[in-house]
Amino acid sequence: MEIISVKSLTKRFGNFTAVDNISFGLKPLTINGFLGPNGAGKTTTIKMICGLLRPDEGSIFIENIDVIENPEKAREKMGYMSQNFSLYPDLTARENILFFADLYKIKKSERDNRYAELTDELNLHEYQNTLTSDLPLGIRQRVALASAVIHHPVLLFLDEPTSGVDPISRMKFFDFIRKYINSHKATAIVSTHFLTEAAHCNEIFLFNRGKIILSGQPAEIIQNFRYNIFETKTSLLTGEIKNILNNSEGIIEFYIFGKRVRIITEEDIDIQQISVRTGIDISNISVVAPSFEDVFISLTND
Amino acid sequence: MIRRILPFIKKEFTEILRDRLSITSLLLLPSILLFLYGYAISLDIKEIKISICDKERSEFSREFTDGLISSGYFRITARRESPNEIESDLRTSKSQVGIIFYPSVYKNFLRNNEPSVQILVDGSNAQSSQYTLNYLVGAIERFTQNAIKKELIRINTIQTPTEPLLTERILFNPLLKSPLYLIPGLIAFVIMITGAISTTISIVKEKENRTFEQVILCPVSPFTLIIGKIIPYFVISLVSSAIMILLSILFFDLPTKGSLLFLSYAVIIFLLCASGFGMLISTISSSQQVAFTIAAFSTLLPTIILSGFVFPINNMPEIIQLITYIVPAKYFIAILRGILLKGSSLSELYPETLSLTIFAVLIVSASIIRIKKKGII
Amino acid sequence: MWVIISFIKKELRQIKRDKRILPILVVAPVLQLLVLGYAATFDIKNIEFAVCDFDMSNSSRELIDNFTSSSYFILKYQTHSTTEIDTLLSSGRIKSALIIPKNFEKQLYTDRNTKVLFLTDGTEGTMANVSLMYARTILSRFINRYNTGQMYRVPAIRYELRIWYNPDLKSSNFMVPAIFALLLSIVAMLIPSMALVKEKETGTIEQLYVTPIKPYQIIFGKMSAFMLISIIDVVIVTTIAVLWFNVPLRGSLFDLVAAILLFLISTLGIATFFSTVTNTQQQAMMSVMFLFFLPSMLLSGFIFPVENIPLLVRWISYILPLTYFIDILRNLFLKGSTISELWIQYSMLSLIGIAIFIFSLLKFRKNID
Repeated sequence: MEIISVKSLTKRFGNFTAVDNISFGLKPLTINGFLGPNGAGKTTTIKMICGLLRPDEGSIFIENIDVIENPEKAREKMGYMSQNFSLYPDLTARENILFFADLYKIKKSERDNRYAELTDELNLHEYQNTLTSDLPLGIRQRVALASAVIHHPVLLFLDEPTSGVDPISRMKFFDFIRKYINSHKATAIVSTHFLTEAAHCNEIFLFNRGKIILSGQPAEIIQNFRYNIFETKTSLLTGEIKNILNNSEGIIEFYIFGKRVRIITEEDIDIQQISVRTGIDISNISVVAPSFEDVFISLTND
Repeated sequence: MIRRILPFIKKEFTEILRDRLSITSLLLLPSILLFLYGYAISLDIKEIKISICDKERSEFSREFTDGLISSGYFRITARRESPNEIESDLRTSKSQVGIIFYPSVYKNFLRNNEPSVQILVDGSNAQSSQYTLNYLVGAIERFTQNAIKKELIRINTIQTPTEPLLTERILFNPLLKSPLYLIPGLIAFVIMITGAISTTISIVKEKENRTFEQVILCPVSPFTLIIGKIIPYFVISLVSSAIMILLSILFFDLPTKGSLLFLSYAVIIFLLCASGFGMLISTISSSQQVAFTIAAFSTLLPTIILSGFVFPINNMPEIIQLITYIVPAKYFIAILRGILLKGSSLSELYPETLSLTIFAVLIVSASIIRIKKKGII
Repeated sequence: MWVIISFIKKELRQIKRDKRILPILVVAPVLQLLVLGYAATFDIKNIEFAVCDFDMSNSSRELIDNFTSSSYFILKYQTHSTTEIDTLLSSGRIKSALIIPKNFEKQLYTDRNTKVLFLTDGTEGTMANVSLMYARTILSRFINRYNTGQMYRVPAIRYELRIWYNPDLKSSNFMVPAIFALLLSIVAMLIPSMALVKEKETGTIEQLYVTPIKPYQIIFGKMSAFMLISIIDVVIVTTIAVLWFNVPLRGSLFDLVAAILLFLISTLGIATFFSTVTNTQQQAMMSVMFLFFLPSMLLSGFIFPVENIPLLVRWISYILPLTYFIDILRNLFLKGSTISELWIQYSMLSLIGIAIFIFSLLKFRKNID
């Protein structure tokens, strides 16, 4: 049973194809991560599912509702949070949240209950009566989140909800989403360009240049990773490393951060061979577990 | 200072020039507006609609109505049988003036008894009815004058009657062509609006988008920033004003007797007033909406009504006349009319020129002080 | 309904929060009406005037007295040099001048060709026109009096003048309703045009799009807020017009309210339309300003009579709501005209209002692409 099913979705802006013939299905009660760099087509896809953009080709169904034909029918179930945390800057946090509650026609008594609940869970008490333009980004994010879930939607669309927010807030944010999913029997789509956030998701979709290049459960993806990853410390200059590694066979990709080099190699290559091929001191090299960055980089390599 | 401002001017110009639509509209819009309105509007009084009730058709009534028609101001739209119909014409705006000639008007006229003509005027349009009344009263006076002359000849009195003796000369605009006296006002109006509003919006927009915050971190003073922002608009407005004035001289046959140097000075100073005003508004406004509201209220109607553009200033109540002293368009229109129509020189227009210059200095320094004190954000 | 109400509440809250906008929207029209209502006067009196009397006779003095006692002319300079008259005129210190030649009196009694010269500055057309009329009339009277002095029976046209609707020819009766209409279009057309597009700029419109709120509800919510403010303005400004400027309100209050509502609908409709077709506040405001507001100021009959506008341009006048509104207001206030007498104007207003609203609703789709 899929709650959202998308087939052959395409969207072009002039000559630029933002989303290129993608298809996927989402299971209920999951957090689905749309991962990938900026401009990969994540936001465009989310906007099309919400009915904010009309696709050029393809179909989108939420349960049995055709979203392209009847966007209004699906709206009551949706909560959407855009990447710029669209709030009215000249209204207070409280006024913003309650305004959206009213748009969803929530009865007053219920509205106040939900509001109290949300301010508790998201720790918004002390900011209730501050204009949102005066709030720091992290708090604005929480206010935007509260506005997006005040009507208890069963579908959450969170577009880059964590950009510009500190790591602790990001953690807390995913905790909240997880709790929400469980208590409301909901499903969420979260787009992010932080590949590390994949760990919070049940299902991830890797976007690149308008296509989904890989999808699956995070653990599964790491398990299926066919390559080896090595890390080494070196005092060589960047140019020298590049020189050596570019000329060595069996090396898929490498990247340098600081004094360390991370090398992705073909499956059948081990430390010994690396040492031989590159002349790097073996005691310095270690095998590491692959991360989503590695996965992404190996996939977009060609 | 100059070295610091230059990068801003360059950036601003690049932005404006990149946007083809806005640069063309900034340059050409004033001229288009001037042309449209220059041809369209006039204050001429013509074709005032008259209903006439004249049962007798005497020599007098015929002469009188012929005189009215040949004046070019009036058009007879209805000839009615009864005075009641005349009244209903006025009520339904079929005509603005009703003239009722009572029977035996000429005989009565010569005998000097009984009212002989009744004139009904729809006073609701105070403007045209002023003309109408003045004209009708004048016409009757002149008619009397002729009649007296004839009568004097008839009774062959002691002395030969004196002929009318007015020689009229209208200076500077002999044919009283509407465009000639309206164009200077229109130019002032268009410069004020495009100058003040484009400056205001360009500054406040950056304030609202918070792009200023970015720039403010650079080691330049807010003042430099604003000046850099304004100079490009100033230059563009100057070019577009020049085009506009040139075209109006060519197409509306403005005599342009005065000095072009003086004209350029006046235009520059007036533009300075407009952008200074825009600057001041943008320093006190937080959002585009506020800025625009202030700009709309303070420039649109006052520039038309309080500047002498259409309504002569010395007919206004004294207090209102005092208020017109802070309307820079007032001085500018006087100077423009002087230079373009009369060929006046600086020595003749020095009070206006001085006032305009003082105004420009005041408004620009007010906004500079405000920026220095409070910053721009 | 509930949705619209909460939307209106939100709008009003935002307007209230901006400490400057509400005072401006309410106070500015009042102040402007008070000043402009007095300033917009067509009465031409106190024309600054100079005399150059070379005759210095009883007759010349009498003629000058006739000019100065008329309240039309105000004597600023008396001089004996025509060059001075020239400079006075070209510097704008005086608007007209009377030059009486030597031997004026002598010729008056003996000669047929007595002349005086009347000069007037044509740069202010209205003033020039009127001053000429005054001068002619004063002179005719002067001659008539002089001639009739020799007659035992004086012929004269006894005329009776009756001025209807505005017996004192007060310009304010004519102009105040029009200024009122124009101020109302600033509040209900220029400013609201930026309202909807502001949500596009801040991105909040997307947030609205994903809620079940319908496009027409967004539009009505936005516009109702401005409708409310406009109505406050209407009440204050009408009160000032009637009580302060003593503009007679002869028509029925119901007709007035109907006209105002129709006008507000069409101006707010125009604002909505431009708000939907533009992407930034700047674009929205500039388009409304140059496509609707300036034409409204100059082509609606506010100052310049519509009949004088060349036919080709007059079509613009016919699609401006203000043209009809000003016409209705003037007739309603001064003549007491009714809806049935002004049905053309009322129906045109309604037509424009309905058409523009339908148009913007069609344009304002939920999709943002």
